Amino acid sequence: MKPSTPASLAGRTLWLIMALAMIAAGCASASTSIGEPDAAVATAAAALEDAAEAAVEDLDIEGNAADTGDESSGSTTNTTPTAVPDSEPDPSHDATDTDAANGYTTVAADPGMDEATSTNELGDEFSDTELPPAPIGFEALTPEPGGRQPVSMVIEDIDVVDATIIPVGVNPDQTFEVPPADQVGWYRFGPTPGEEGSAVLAAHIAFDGVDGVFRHLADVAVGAVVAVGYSDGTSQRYRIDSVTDYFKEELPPELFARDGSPQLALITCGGAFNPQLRSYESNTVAVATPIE
Amino acid sequence: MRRLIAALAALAISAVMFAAPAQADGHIRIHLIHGIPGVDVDVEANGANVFEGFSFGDTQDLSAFAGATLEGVKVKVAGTDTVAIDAGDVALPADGNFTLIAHLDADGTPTIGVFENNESSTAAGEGRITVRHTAAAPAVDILANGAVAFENVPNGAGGDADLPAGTISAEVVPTGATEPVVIGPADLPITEGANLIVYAVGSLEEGSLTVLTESIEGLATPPAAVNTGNSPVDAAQGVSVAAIAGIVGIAIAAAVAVPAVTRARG
Repeated sequence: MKPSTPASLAGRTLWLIMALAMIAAGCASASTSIGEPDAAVATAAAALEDAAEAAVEDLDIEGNAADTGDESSGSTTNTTPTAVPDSEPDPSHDATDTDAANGYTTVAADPGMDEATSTNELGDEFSDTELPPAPIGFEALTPEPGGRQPVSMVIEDIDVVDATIIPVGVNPDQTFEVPPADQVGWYRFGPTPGEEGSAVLAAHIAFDGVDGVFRHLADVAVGAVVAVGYSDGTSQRYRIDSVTDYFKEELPPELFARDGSPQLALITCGGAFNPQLRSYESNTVAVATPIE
Repeated sequence: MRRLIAALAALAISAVMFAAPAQADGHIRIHLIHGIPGVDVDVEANGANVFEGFSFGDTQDLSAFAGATLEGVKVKVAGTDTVAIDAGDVALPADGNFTLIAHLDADGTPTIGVFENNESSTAAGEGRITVRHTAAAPAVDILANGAVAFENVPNGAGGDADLPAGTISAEVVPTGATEPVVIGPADLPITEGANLIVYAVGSLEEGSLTVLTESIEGLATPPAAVNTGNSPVDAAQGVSVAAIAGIVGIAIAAAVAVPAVTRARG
């Protein structure tokens, strides 16, 4: 899986994040000491012994999966009533994997918060916490393009001459974000051409009466050469292995595979044109593999 | 070491016994994370240590034990018989995707949390962020891009959200407050087709708060459709051919008609 942001960004940020760092208000004092290395072990041992006394006898994960909406359900057995549902705010989940997910059982837990914790009056509500859905506005910022990317394409066999390739994603309706007629869109969530998996490069056959870059993709010869130029100045040649038409609803998901042998999936439209829908019934797909 | 081998052998046998039917369902992933800073531990099951010197931040894959019941599970301070967590018998699920994490509860008491991970596919162009409060600290609000995304999250709870791939800016504040910002703002990568799971661990009071992360990949969905044309190529050609034919026809007609008219006048 290719991250959509540079790995360095990911690495840098993960550690910073969410340390759910918690509030300044005091928490209970039974915590393990992590202060000085030598003292820590002894202190921790003492604290851990205390913890053991409060430990419960049975931890049954399957009980959690039954229904986190009802903490008494399933076979979870605790000495303290602290089965906390881990609500899933995302409304898009299937019913079968929504609240069944993240069933959470604490062992030897004490839900009581420190009396001095003014900002957190969990009390009896502790086990009934339901997290709200993520609100509007909780959306990702535009990702920064990074790394080696395909930038140009030549397919002499069908008169594609130095076409510009741009990175694209999906439209709001989750369809492929096809670029203007004179450009080729590289599906940036999938592999980079030449890397493991199936790199998708799509272009119009025709848009608003203007021929697209892949106007003649259906006619490309098996064995024809596809040359892809990259942002680092390198290039890679590929050989057309097959050209296939699929009804759009039957476009094989494997064409978007994130792993497997490197290949290009060049996609445009084909088949009958529906004037009412202003759309073609099929996709024409040419698959190419790297030439050594 | 002999004890360890014996225990592993025993576990392997029981795992085989219990795992066989489980594998009929195909998918299993059970990971165990050590989420208590500063304490190396040994994990005992079925009367012997199965993991020794298990350190903070380490992960063990328990998938081989899917469907098995581990008897007398104890988490002990490494190299000692000091029991930190006595989890009793632990019945591992037969299939599914789970993370077990040894962590501190809100009061700082060691405990084991069990989360079932959300393996549902993410929509094309989206990734999933999951946050889990497993630190010895009170409840918090988690802000994303300035808005409260997860509200009043207590120890032991969490949540997730599917977002367009990209980066969000995250902050953590006390529940119901806007400050102090105890963490962040920090950028979080949302990777398409992947689930980034962030655990807050450690202790506020001890100053050991930090985060651990794990990632689940392979959740991507292809685009709903590839619509690469909104005008007909054949019709476009037809129009132009007709136009050309029309022009040629008019020209021919004119060429024929004009002399005729001229002649008639003459």
